[in-house]
Amino acid sequence: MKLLDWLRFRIATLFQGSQVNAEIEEELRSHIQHCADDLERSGLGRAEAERRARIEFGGPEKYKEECHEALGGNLVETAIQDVRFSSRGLRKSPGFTMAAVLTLALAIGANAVVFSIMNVFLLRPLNVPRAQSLYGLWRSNEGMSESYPDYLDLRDRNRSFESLVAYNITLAGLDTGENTSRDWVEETSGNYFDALGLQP
Amino acid sequence: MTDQAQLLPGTLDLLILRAVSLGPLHGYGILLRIGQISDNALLIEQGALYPGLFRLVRQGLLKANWGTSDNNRRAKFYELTATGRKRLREETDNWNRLATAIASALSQQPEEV
Repeated sequence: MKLLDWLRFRIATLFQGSQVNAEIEEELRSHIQHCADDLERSGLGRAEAERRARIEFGGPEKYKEECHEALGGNLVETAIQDVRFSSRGLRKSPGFTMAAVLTLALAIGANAVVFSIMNVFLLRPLNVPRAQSLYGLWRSNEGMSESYPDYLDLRDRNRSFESLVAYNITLAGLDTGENTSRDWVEETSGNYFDALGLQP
Repeated sequence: MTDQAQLLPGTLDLLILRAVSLGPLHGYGILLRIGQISDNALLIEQGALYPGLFRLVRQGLLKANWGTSDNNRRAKFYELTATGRKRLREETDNWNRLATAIASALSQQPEEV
């Protein structure tokens, strides 16, 4: 029931936003008039009395705003007002708008590039079954490479892993029929796909 | 003017409830009534009254109706609701307890502690 009341109230203030505003303004004006009446009775001229009353009251805009907030604010209405206000400002200074848009576009672009690189090399897990039981083997004193006979010996005497795969990255000419292009290829041992559990 | 005390946070609401408990009043009338019942000892910014009034209406402690004032001007009159009357009683008790405790704490002499 409380929630319903609240909803009804919010919807009412949403559609009667200007009416609520007018009512707040009328109430504050009425206050200043009453105050001026008192000052007038104490001997001041009407104009001077009203001026004094306004000064005594303080900044009406600030209090109007606070009244609105006290009524529970009006999120939708203030959001619309903010959007209108900022689009007006942007239209008025196209140079600033362009600079802002370009800055944002560059920043977003740079972020997207960095993230896609990070995503491929660091974040995305290997796309093979049981990637966690995949290991790379290197001998520390031999650089990055093994000879093929060594690989065969290691593979045949291996008792620690299910299987052992060798690969070599190299450049090769790829003939597509019309012109030949140089491409990176990976030479692998025959058990490559079986060991990784993939269908070529 | 310089002898006026600043309000503690939250006390304006209590003063508003007390002022309208004596009969329906419009905003300016509430200010005058508060001045009258506190011997003008409290410093209240006039405009600051209204956010307080709107808040109390929203909380259901006050209800407001437009009417005509003694000056023959249109004004919004506030009066207590039943909830408001109950809240005023509770807050008055709370305030008295607090004020007594603080006054007693501040008046203790060293040899009595």
